[in-house]
Amino acid sequence: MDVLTNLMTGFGAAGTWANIGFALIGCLLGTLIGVLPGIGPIPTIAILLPITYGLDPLSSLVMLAGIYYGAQYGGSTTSILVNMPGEASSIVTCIDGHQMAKQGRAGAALAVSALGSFFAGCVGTIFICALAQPLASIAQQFNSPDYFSLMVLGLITAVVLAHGSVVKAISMIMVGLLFGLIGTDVNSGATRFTFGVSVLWDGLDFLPMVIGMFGVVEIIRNLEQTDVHRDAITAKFRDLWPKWQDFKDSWAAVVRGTFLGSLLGILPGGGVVLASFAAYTVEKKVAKDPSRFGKGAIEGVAGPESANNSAAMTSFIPLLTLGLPSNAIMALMMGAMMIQGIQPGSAVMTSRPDLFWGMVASMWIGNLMLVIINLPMIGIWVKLLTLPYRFLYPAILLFCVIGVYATNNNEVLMLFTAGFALFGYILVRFDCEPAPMILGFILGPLMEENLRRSLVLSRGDPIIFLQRPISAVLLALSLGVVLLIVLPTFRKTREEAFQE
Amino acid sequence: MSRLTSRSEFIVAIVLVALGAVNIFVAQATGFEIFPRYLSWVLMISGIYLGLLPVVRAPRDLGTSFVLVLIGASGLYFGAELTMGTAGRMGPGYFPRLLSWLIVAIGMFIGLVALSTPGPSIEAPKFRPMVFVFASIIIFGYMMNGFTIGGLAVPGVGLFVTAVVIVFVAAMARREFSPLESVLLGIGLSIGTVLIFVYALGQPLPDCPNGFRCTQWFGSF
Repeated sequence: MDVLTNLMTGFGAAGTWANIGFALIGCLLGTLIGVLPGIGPIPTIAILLPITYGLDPLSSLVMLAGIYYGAQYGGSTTSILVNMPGEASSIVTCIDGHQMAKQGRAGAALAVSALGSFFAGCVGTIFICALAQPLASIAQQFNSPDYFSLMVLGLITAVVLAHGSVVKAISMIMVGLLFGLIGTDVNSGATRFTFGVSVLWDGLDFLPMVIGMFGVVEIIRNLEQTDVHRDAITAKFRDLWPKWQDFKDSWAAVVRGTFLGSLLGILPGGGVVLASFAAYTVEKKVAKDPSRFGKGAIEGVAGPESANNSAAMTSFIPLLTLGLPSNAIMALMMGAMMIQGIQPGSAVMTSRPDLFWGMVASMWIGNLMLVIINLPMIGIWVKLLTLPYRFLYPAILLFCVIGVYATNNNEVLMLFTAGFALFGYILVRFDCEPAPMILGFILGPLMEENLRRSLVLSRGDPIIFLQRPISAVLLALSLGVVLLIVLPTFRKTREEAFQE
Repeated sequence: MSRLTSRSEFIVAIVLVALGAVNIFVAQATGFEIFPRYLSWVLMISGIYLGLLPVVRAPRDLGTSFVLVLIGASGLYFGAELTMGTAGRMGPGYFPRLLSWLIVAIGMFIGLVALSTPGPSIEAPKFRPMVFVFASIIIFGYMMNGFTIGGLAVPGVGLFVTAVVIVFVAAMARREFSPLESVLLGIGLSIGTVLIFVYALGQPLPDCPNGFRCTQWFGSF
């Protein structure tokens, strides 16, 4: 029973009172920021990231997990109550969740979403435990060419599964990769694109980029829409608990969503968005009366929300075993770990088992906190939603600037933040979704390093990527995915899927 | 986006390209640069894209193309001095150059598609929110760290005062701006953030002037 002993190690390390306290604070803050309309998980995590810097590695990871789940759940709350999704994965929740809220069943929708997420979180934890070691031993077979091809596959799938223009998403990844190269080159010691600015010698700090492009741009865009009509549901919240009938209607959807999400989350480039869309489609197919969907069907909330959360769990698997983030949020998590001096990957499992399994345990703790503190506090979050935006945005902006400034008390970082905000604003004006850029930014140095090593091995001959079997299979898969996009039938299905 | 007439856009475009070209030409001939060579390239690329704007059918994609070409070209321009190396022994310039060319290529591809496929027009930006939000971000850094102006060193004033000012500036981003309300909100948020960030979370932020914690600052009198 390796899995059990490992889990015990994890809970032993992460389950101290202090750490549970950090998980609690993280979860509260994550929900607090995540619930604000228009702020998705990416800016939420970015804003709260600096808070975890001062802690020891394990505690900071525990707190981060709390923030992550809080942010995810906060996003669902906003979707259900205000019909304003902070990110793509919440769009699905909006469809039926908001309808339920309009019918006065907001409490049931929120509770089912929280409990379904918790169940999904438990299953996701078991998945990670069961799969981490086998995958890590596969990872040890990987050589530089294999890693490079895996990154190519991951980036391509990430692009196909995200919404919006594929070509633009690829271009954003490339820009991210280029920005990731700023700083001192590890191999030659040459400084690249630093323009004599000493802050850039260690590379571009990623907080100004993330906070500028996601946090600040969101604020500006919300300010541009004068008098947004936010039809927040402020109905009574006394009937928070779902009726017995709601449980009976939704448990099957929760189970289906959980397993679908767990599987889709592991895919390189897969993750939350795909999982919730797929779960919604499945629920609609399975239902006896599909016409109820879009009019407040509880399965339409339960399925996607569970899928969403279990995928959020299992998408940690590629990060923890291979050291490769599969989406923008995982890239952010990886950035946070690297700031703590942890290079995620199978090496952590052998060198610091307490840290690795503690991290896994902390995810479960984060999930538990979510249910324990958030269900009773939903009333407070609802109050927060009714606050006018003119009080909210100066506070959010203040959190953003303090977050960036606190990393090393340098005013140049503030200029970067403003610069990236301008850049992000321009991109959004041109219908260009900047999220893939973070993925490229984090992967940039890794990709260069593995390309370099592979070509040193082969003395410059790119055929090495096809000679190594693992690498060849991965590249063939990537090609298959590219062909899928080009094929008109799949393109149509993809467009339809995102239309819904 | 608010547009000039196609004709005057065309004239501006030609002027931009000409300005850039003249500068490069003068620099080649006499070795004297009127303005940095990098700027000439930016002017020329901007001119070409501005000239394309009237004929293009998807302006937003043309905009993306412009941004990409500019980034790729900057990568090539500023990465020019980095050693290229060979594929087998890559220098620091190899991967950046590869990426920059790819970015330029994708940018041009998007631009070409934009010429024929129709798309929505670019929404006009509103400058008020942008200006005040950016101003408050930048002011924050200088108010916290202090700055030197004309030989006069102004010390940092600490988070307490800075937060009030930032909230006030940020509040001006809305047209319906109420000074009194903003000051009150600023004071409230300032106390809240100092308590949370400086004291509860122990972030290394000075909350009083000259880089002090208030607990120390009052003690120094």
